[in-house]
Amino acid sequence: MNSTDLSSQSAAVEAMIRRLRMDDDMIRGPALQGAGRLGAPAVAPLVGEMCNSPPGTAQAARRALWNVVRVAGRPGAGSQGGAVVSEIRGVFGQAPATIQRELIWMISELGDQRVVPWLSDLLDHPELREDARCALMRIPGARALAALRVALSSAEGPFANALADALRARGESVVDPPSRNRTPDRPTSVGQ
Amino acid sequence: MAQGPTLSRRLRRRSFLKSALAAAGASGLFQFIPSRVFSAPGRPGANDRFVVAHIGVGGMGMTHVNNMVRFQQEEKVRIAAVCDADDNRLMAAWENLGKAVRPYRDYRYILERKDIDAVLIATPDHWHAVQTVHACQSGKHVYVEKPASVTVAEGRAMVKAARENHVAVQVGAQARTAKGAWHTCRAIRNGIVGKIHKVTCWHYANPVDDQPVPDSEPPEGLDWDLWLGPLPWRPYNRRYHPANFRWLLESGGGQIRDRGAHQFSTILWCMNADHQTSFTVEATGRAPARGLWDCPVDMHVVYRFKNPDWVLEWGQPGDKVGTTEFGNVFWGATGHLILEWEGGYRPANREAIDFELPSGGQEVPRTDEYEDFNMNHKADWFRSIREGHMRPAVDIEIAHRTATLCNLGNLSYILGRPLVWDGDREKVVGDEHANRLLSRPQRSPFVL
Repeated sequence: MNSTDLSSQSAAVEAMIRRLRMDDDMIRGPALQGAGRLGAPAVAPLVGEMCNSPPGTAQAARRALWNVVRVAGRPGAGSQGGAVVSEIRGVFGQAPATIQRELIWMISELGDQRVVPWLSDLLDHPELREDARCALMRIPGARALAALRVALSSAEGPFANALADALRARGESVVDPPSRNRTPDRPTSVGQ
Repeated sequence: MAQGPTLSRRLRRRSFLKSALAAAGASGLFQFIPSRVFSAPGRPGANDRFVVAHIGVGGMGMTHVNNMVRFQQEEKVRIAAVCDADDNRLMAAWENLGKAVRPYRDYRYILERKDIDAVLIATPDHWHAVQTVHACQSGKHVYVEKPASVTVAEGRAMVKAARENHVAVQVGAQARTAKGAWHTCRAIRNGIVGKIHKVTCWHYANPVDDQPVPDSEPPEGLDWDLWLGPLPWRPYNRRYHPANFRWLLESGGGQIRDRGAHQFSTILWCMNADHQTSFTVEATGRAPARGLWDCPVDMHVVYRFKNPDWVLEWGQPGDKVGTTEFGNVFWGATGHLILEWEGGYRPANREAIDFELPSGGQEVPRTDEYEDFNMNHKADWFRSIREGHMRPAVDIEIAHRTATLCNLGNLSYILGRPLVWDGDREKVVGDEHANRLLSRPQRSPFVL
């Protein structure tokens, strides 16, 4: 990509962000729906809006970023999915946990085995590990499966049950720890 | 968990009945006694009451409760338990039913009770599959609200659980046992407007969350974590609950998964097309520009079926041909026939009601025990259990196929591209990203 292309792409992203900030559905709506074609260069600005803008703009930026993910995953998009994943990982540390959770789910749609070590590290994060576990359930290939197995070997408590559930969902036979999916544990105060 | 006396009393009665029938057979009288009077574990006989429990007692859940109260008055069922993640709703239902009914927050307590034969599930869509599969695995028959599922993988798991555990799963798309849709079905199948090449649906738009509020603590009595269940955790916002789950793609899927599940079920029935599981789908829509709800405001979805060739169009708003707020039009070689709503709450159009079956025409069977179509649909479910075939009118396999139409319509919308669906393999052709979204990892421990 030459400097003219980069410049026009950057201008397009800036224009999209400006439109997202406008409190007019007729402007904001088409902007967020059209964001997908802007690809990886739109990721960092959109995450910035999700983190720092008023709720209306942040919500629109969130939807725009999902559109970027969905367009990057289309058949024939080549390396675009990987580029979007790379950009998301690049800004991940700047976001609060509530947004990081959603970014993990975006990566779960596009990521391949190259993101497995990064997701595996998140399995140690108390606020993010459940979402990272879910993402690893979705990433195809033996490497994600192996990462879940390794995590299970050292996990304790309910998260060990969760990892075992993840392996079962991917067709693995895991006896211990058992699933707690049919174990009731929420009593009501009604009628007591 | 305590077991009521009912089960043992029922079993004693079953034993008595079997002995009496054996004696009757020995004396040559057996041919006068229908076979369905015999019962088996999990399959009450004709003289037994079903013991039922309600999971989810909000809007539609209370319709089910009221239906079961009537069945109870007719001595056909006994309501044993009610359950809701929101104590406010639970309290209202429990007070309405009386102290003989036990309240629960967690549906899994109900599944542990051996005296309960069947459950009626009316929770938000994201719970349908998990609760249905667990109920089947616990040997319970299930009546679950439509749409059956939120992903293709969930729907397939529901079918598998029903078959492996030999239980009846009826999905609450009531039109297939309702008179309005039945008149329309037999008229369409027997050529009232000739060969059908297109069916169009019209429906008003999905609402926009134009009064967004910040996240907050959940209201007292609501177990927010349990309400979310399989969904990724996020803070409570009152634009999710109460009443608004329908307007989020992951928990409700918008009108295409609500009314669409009714309308598509009726249309597939009328078209005799339950076997046409492969199609292409292309959706476009207008995303909301504000608020929490993310369902498209307007939506246009085109499904194309082959052999026989026909097109199904979902339109919000679509081309409104009838007079009511939503409905369908069957476009045939010699004219068109309108079905307003989905054939349950509204009668069929006059032409369909007056239609006379031609000589050699194809009659359409239908359970016809109650004029009230909500009651009749449940009677059809009970009948499938008593007769032992476990295939009610909207058996889970049929409902899974209907939900697949709804879910792939939404999937095409969120991906912004057409999809080619291979119904035999249950895969999108040539789209790895789309195939990854045919299932959704569930938050532990709320997993299939």
